[in-house]
Order: sequence, then structure tokens, then C-alpha cells
Amino acid sequence: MTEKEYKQCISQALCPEYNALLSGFASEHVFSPEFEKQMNKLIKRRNKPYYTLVNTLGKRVAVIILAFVLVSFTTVMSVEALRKPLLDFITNIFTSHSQIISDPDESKDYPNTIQSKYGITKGVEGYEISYESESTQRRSFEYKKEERIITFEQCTVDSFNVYTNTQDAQTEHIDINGCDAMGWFDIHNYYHLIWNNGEYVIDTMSNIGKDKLIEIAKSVQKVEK
Amino acid sequence: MKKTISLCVMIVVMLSMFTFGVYATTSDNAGLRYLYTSSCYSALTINGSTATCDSEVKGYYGITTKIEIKQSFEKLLSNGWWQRLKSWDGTFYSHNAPMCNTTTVTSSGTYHVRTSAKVYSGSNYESISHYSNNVVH
Repeated sequence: MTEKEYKQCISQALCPEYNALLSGFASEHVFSPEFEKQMNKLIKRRNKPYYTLVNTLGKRVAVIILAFVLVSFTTVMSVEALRKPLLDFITNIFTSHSQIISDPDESKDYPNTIQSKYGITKGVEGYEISYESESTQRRSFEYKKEERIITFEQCTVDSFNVYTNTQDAQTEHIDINGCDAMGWFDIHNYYHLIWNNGEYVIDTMSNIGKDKLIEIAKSVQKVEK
Repeated sequence: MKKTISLCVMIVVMLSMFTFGVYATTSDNAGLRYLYTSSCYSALTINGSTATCDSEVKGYYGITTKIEIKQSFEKLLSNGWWQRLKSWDGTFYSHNAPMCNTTTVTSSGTYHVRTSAKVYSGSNYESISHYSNNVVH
């Protein structure tokens, strides 16, 4: 018997037995509806165009971080400071201080030099004027009584542009004789009040406390021409 | 499990976005701390050919001991740089430093005043710088 004939005999003897074995195990299996549903879901997900970007946990995390970085660079991390309009003023907030610029009503005609003088009329009894400075655009006074300091400044609306200490400060709106003033405590516990009285910008600061400064601010009026 | 981890990461990232939103940053005067300075003011007016430069740096009584102030009158060049045309210096052994100077404007253009100062508390100091509004002559 040749090798070829031997192989043919083996095949003829064993193949029918093998086939009989296989058909014994074959059966009609039906998958559960939940399984079918999940499989269809996976197939649909697989067919999505962005599947390759999010098909692993690591890739999903990377996509989320990238989305965050893109949003950050277009909003809070832009080079320009966030501008916070506050009625008559624009405040540019920096990490250690703020820049406050007048944003006056353009329909109004504000004087471009100091033509009428304003001053504090109550609350400074017993205080001495420890500092004063005047120019065509600005008048500045400091009242002092022992350790108590009150500063008063009158400034033309067009020229009002200051950097002021607002580090860690929470600003608030205070009504000063119908004008909307911005008030805050600075890091040395001085209270500041700034407002546009319709003619000039008035800027006051003191370490005597918020309520007392507000009373003093409400006494500010025209003192002479 | 993986979905839970993804969700947690997303929540942390979203929360950190809101946290960053509280603070604003700028490239101007980055890193300065207004410890000894309460305010800095600069203004420029031009009437005819006379420019008036007005600056004032204020500190705190009992804290600020000296202010070295420099006031510069500058013109905007076509390349975007500012050219210093004139400057004045002053030293005040006090917590208030006013400075007002005039100069002649010889050509049209855009001008401003730069106020820079070293504000001292004892031997410690902080440097500040402030620009007035631009004035077109």
C-alpha cells in the first residue's frame, strides 16, 4: 500500500465519524434581546466617525482635557484682563490692583478742568489738613486726626484713570445722594468710595470705618466756585 | 467602571473651569503687590502747544515711608513704541507724592504720561507703573 492509498483509507474511515460528532454539537442558538441590543449599540458606536478618538479611556480623558484647554484659552486665560463695567466706570481687574477709568455718559457735557470745588462739609471736625495738592484736573486733600486718616479727591471725569489697591477686595454698590458709588475694603482695612456726581469724580478713602466714611461722603457738596 | 472614571474626570475639569473664572490675569504689572501703594493717578491735558502732565502716587500713613516718582511725557511712534520726550523725577519722604509739570508739544501725534514709582516701606519697596489716557494732538 502506498502512502497515498494509506491516507485515502484513513480519510474515508474517520471523516464520517468526525462529521457525525460536529452535527451532534450544532444547535440553533437564540441570543437574548438585551444581548442583541447591546451588540447593535456597539456596532452603531463603532460606525461613528469619531469612534477612533474616544474608543479607549485614555483617549476620552485626553479629549476632555483638550476641550478644557481650548475653552480656557479663549476665555479666562486671554491676555486682556476681564473688564467689568460698573455704570459710570470701567474696572480692569488685575491680580494685585484694579484700574478704574471713567466711562461717562457721552450725552453729558462734563467740565474738562476743575471749575467748581467740592469738599467734605461734615465729619472732619477736629481733623487737620495734613496734605493738599491741586492741579487743573484734580484736587487732593488728606485729613488727619491722630491715627485717623480721611482722603478726599475731586477729579475731572475725562482724566480719571487710577490704579488702586483692590487686592482680595469685594466691591459693592453704595448710594451716595442718588449716585452709584463703588465701595471696598483694601488689604490695610481702609474703606474706599468712588462715584461720579454728575460733574466730577469723587474719590474718598479712610480707616475710620465704612459707615462713618459713607456719612462723610454724603456730606460732600459744592464749597466754592 | 470606565464610564464612572470618565464622568469623574469631566466633573473635576468643569469645576476647575469655574474656579479659574474668578480671577483675571493680565500681562501688565504681573507679580506686583500693592502693599505700600493705595493709588496711582496719571493725567495729560494739551491746550494749544502746552502739555500738562499730572501724576500722584499715594501710599498709607504709617506704612509708606518714601516714594521715588518718575513722570515721563511720551509720544507714540509709527512702529507702535512710545518715545520718551521728557521726564521728571522726585523723591518724597512721605506717603503722598504729587507731581505736575508742563512742556511744549512741537508736533501732532498721540501722547500720554507714564508715572512710575518705587514705593518704600522702610527698606522694602514695590515698583509700580501707570499710564494716563492717550491724548491725540
